[in-house]
Amino acid sequence: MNSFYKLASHLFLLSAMLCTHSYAEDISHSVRGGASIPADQNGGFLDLGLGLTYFKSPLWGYPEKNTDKNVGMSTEVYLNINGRYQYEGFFIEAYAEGFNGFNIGYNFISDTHWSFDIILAPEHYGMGDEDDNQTWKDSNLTPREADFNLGLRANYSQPGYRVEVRVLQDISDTHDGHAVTAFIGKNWQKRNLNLHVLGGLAYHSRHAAEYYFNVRPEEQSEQLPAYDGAKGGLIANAEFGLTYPIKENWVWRGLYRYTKFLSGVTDSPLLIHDEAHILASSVSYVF
Amino acid sequence: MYKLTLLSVLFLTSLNDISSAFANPISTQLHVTPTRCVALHQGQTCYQLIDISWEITSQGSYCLFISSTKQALNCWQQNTAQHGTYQYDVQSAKDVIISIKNMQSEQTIAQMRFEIAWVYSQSQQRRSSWRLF
Repeated sequence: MNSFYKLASHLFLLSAMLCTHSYAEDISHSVRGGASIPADQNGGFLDLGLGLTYFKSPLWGYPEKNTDKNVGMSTEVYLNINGRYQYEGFFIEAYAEGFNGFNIGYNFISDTHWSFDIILAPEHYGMGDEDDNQTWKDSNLTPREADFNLGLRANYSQPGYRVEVRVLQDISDTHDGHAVTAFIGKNWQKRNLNLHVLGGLAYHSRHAAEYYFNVRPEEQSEQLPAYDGAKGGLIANAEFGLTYPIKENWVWRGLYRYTKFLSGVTDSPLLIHDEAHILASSVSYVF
Repeated sequence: MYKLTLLSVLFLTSLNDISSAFANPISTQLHVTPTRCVALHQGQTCYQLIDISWEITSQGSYCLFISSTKQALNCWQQNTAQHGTYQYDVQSAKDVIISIKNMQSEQTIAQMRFEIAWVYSQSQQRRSSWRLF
């Protein structure tokens, strides 16, 4: 569980912290051609695995040593959970390597190409909140809490292509901000190797940016000057991924993900780089 | 009915084999490595380079067949006990049968199934639906 949380803090934080996206399943899952269940059926699927990620985080204090631009890449082992259960249209899903880690929702329209869901989902994970991050504890920063959002997601799929749009509004009183994300994905096969690319943009409103990336005067320190310039902004994401069937119950997954903060919070002291890189490799058992 | 027909064919084939064996004893070994291919999805084309090897003890004219193609992969004439190998790149979404036939008697003297497996079963097509709880 600890490693799952750490994954949320790192793998997700890098790309999901200020950005998000998905599919009738999360697009990062569906574009890999993973397990799926027709929308009009009940049931679920699960696979569990272990992975290793090599990443460059843009966030101050995540991981703990990440406090200036000179800190290089970090490595972490993570628990890779991919699962979904649905019943009469209601669903709960978790995709550890996805852009969106966790969604609860209700599918109210589905056909061959289109799917529309009402979803409840975290969009921004907490910083310095309910974790053991010593860098944040030793600073003057007030913990930033995770939010929880209500929204709509729409997915369109054609053989080989998928598009996903999400609109989310914070309902947790954390920051009252909103986010809009749009992604397009394509997959293809090269012998038994399955390849995919994903690209998209995420807009995050001023309220979320201010809550997570402003540094109030009482929070400033030698390392972190006060900052109140956070605005709504755009983040671009691109991912290249590979999926290989090792055996009937074993799958290898690899990905490279690039995130670029285009506007809004690029000059925040809590963002030590305006880009993130993630290289991840995992092996999972499919139940 | 299908099972009965299949059993009948197997029975007749075995009788035929037995009669042939008494007339002209044939010992044939057929091996394929690896024995299966794993794709990510059911229905997806699976790719696997396989090594087929055989040993036939009797003389005759033989051909190697694979069910995904009508033409023989390889044919040869042998006068003594002989073994052979053939490399083939399987590209199939379903199981393939590899067989050796005696071209004079048209009899299949050895065959085996190369299995296509997958990680994720194929989902049924989604029906169009609206839900209001």
